[in-house]
Amino acid sequence: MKTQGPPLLVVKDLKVHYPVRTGVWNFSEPRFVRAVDGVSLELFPGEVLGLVGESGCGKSSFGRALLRLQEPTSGTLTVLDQNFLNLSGKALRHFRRHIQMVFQDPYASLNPRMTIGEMLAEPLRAHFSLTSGEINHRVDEKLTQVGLSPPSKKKYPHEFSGGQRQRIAIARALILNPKILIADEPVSSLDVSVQAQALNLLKEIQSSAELSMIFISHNLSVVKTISDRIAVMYLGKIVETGQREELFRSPQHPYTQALISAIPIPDPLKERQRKRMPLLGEIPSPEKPPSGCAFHPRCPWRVERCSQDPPELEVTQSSASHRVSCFEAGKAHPL
Amino acid sequence: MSELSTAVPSSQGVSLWDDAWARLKKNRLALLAATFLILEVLIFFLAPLIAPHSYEVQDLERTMTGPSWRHWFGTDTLGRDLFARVLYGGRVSLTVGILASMVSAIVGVIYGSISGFLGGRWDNLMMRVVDVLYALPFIFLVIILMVYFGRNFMLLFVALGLTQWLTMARIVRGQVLTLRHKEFIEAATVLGIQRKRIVFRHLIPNTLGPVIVYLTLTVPAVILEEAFLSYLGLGIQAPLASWGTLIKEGVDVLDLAPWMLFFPALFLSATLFSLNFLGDGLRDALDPKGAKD
Amino acid sequence: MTPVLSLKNYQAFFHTRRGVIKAVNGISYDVFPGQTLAVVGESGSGKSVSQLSYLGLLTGSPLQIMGGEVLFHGEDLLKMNDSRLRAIRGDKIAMIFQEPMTSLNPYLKIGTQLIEPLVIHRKKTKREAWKLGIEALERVGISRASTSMDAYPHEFSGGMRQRVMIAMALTTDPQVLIADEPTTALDVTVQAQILELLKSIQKEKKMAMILITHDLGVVANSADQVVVMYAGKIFEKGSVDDIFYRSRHPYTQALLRSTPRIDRSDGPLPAIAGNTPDLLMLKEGCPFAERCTFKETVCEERFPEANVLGPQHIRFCHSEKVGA
Repeated sequence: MKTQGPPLLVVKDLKVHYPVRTGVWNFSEPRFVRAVDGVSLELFPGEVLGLVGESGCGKSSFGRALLRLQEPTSGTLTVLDQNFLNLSGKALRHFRRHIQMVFQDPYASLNPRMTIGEMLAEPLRAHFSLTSGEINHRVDEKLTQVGLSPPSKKKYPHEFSGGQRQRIAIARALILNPKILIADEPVSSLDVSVQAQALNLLKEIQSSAELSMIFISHNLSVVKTISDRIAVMYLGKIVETGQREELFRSPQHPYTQALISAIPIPDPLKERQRKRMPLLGEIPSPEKPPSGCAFHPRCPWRVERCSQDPPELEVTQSSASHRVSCFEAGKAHPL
Repeated sequence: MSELSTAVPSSQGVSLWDDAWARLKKNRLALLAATFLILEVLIFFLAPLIAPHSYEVQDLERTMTGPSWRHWFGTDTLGRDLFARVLYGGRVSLTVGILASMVSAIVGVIYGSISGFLGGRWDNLMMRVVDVLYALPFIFLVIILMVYFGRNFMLLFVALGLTQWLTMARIVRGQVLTLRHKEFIEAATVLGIQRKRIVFRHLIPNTLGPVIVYLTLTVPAVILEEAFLSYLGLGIQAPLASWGTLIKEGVDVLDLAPWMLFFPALFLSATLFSLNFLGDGLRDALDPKGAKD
Repeated sequence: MTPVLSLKNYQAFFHTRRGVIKAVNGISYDVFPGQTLAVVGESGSGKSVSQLSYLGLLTGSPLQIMGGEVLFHGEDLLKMNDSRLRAIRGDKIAMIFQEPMTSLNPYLKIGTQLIEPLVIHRKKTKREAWKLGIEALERVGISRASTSMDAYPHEFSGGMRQRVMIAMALTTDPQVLIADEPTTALDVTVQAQILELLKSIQKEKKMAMILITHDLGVVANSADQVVVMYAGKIFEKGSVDDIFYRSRHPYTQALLRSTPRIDRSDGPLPAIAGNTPDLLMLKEGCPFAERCTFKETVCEERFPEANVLGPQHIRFCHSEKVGA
């Protein structure tokens, strides 16, 4: 595998809790939405880590917290050996060039009143002192790299299609040559026929630039296509993580199994023959997570202990990189 | 290299301003209003060349004469040519209106943007200041200022401008609060762009739509306020005229010389209408929903 | 079997200031009782407009029905007057939409909204309808149905709201259910539940379902017949096996190949070049021509005629080189 060397990004027990406003006259204990409830993970050089989960799992809040768009409530975040949460002011601003983001909505993530060229030049000016010739050169280079022609830099975002806008957003995220890229649902807003283009582009760029990427998505099929390693989130916590092939071949957590089982495959024969793992109920609100293991109310393997103690992420028997957070994992479970 | 399609082959980009301009051009009423205003401005500022008479020369033999070939709008109580006075008065009113609105816009936009962008406690504090100022009756403040500092032309439009910035600040702050969480603003933060630049290059240009529209509504408001002040005798000093002073003089002798009220009132109304129609047209043209694919 | 709903050469255009958008440009297909027809397409394909328009749901927009027939049990919906259409819509032909958040009135109780079709179309009293409503909620898997009738939409999650929508649609025992992206806004685990629910109801009531979606997985899961749309045209139609295993249209094939799948992990996905077309700037011939790897000169001159490949399988393409 490509992952060599020490991790570029280390997250330990990160929490993002939003206080819930309950009105002026409420004197009871303040309530919190535990969007991210103690997440630890590492990102190694050159790898794509897919972060997947359904609504309320906290993956977007986590992604934003990594960039401090949302300040974490507690925990540590080390980026390229720097204590990222400790930085402020100018130091923070300059350090940001190492970790960048591609947003979900290509319509909202580009300033409608700036030309593409200005959008790409601006970060260069904010961080480096380059001549306009050098800036122009870099801008042209990046545009070409994402498959757009240099003359397009005079145009405005609304003159492009959704897929092209996402390319522009990718170009902008890469113009500072960051080491780490956080992609938050980068293809979810695109048409199906254009999604593959964008995914291929990301993959290409990632491997040629040896970028490390965290790819956040609710779509496990998409995540599978692009990731080396995958982490599954549920209600603010990571429930399972492992290398891609290993995870799909042998998912250990009941939620992971249910998730994989629920995803329809574009193959009618397979669909007709599949045995699905039924999952009861719906995802609880992150404001009132269930006691013990957050998944226990819906879990077909539930035992007494599950409603009392929260399980930890532990290494499975099969592989050191495959970890799961479940008391009943590894035991036989008849369907 | 993945396949793609190249962008439409035109060398110059079409900005949202260009789009808005195209849409504005199609709005006949707004165009009419704009043309009228432009003509007005031209005429007023060319007044010295156009008006056959001076605005201050008194002709005591021809006081309060009705419209005639000699005096197209008639004369006032001191025999001064009303046509000239309306033109010069227009100059004063429009100048005060536009300058005061500019003052309010600049102060309001900067204040509102900073407040909205900072958010949290600073925003709270800054908006409470606005609330307090809002509660003060402006007219008394202006009157006090005028009485204390004398009736200075500069002071007038600064004072009037300062009464209008409050609403502008609120509007801009509201816009900024919405924009702040838009992804392109977050993107700018992630890219490490300086905060000052985010406010001036990303936030403010995207608030300009409502600002421009509100501006076209502020101008008539200021003109009316000035007219009001002048009516009270606190605005422009004689022999200078503004539409406000002219209307005051006209009301005083309404039954004797109705044309003295009629002409300045006509011009004032027409100007106010035009500004409003233009404002409406601008609002429709700048509506971002129209610009989105 | 006679179709319950039949579209013949249906055309509906938007007349806007910037030009004419041929949203639905001459499409024909049949829907049979007890079967699910999936209408597959991306944005701009016309898949939603094609269903919303003939029910009179797009009045007030610049949409104009330009031609063709939409036969419901032999009667042309396009020629009906308003009141007759309204009698059918919501009663014999029901719809559910994508956003359960906005489809339900936040100010009214679930129960009030649920019984509305029964009271209006079947002239039930409120009491009778309320009872039927509770049964409907139970049928769609909402526990404690009677208390739920008194609840408000915001008290429910997305999945439950969609179940309520389905219950509402089913109270009048419709013959056709049109589901416009019913699970797109839902989590995938909830989607699986909803799709199962729809299938079981359909089997029980022998109801025809038109499923509008862009998700090929959902199509494989739920559909019996498939219609593939692009820029207002039908490119291919047939049974679900025809489309997935025997497709001979370049667009369908490209779509299938470029869809990420959970059961595969081969390398990069073969992407479709170019962008979805701007409907205001459509040229002559096949709208997919500029992106098609099998393009021939004739493709830019005229739209292909129907090419019958099997008892249900028809494609619209000039090229003979497109393999199975």
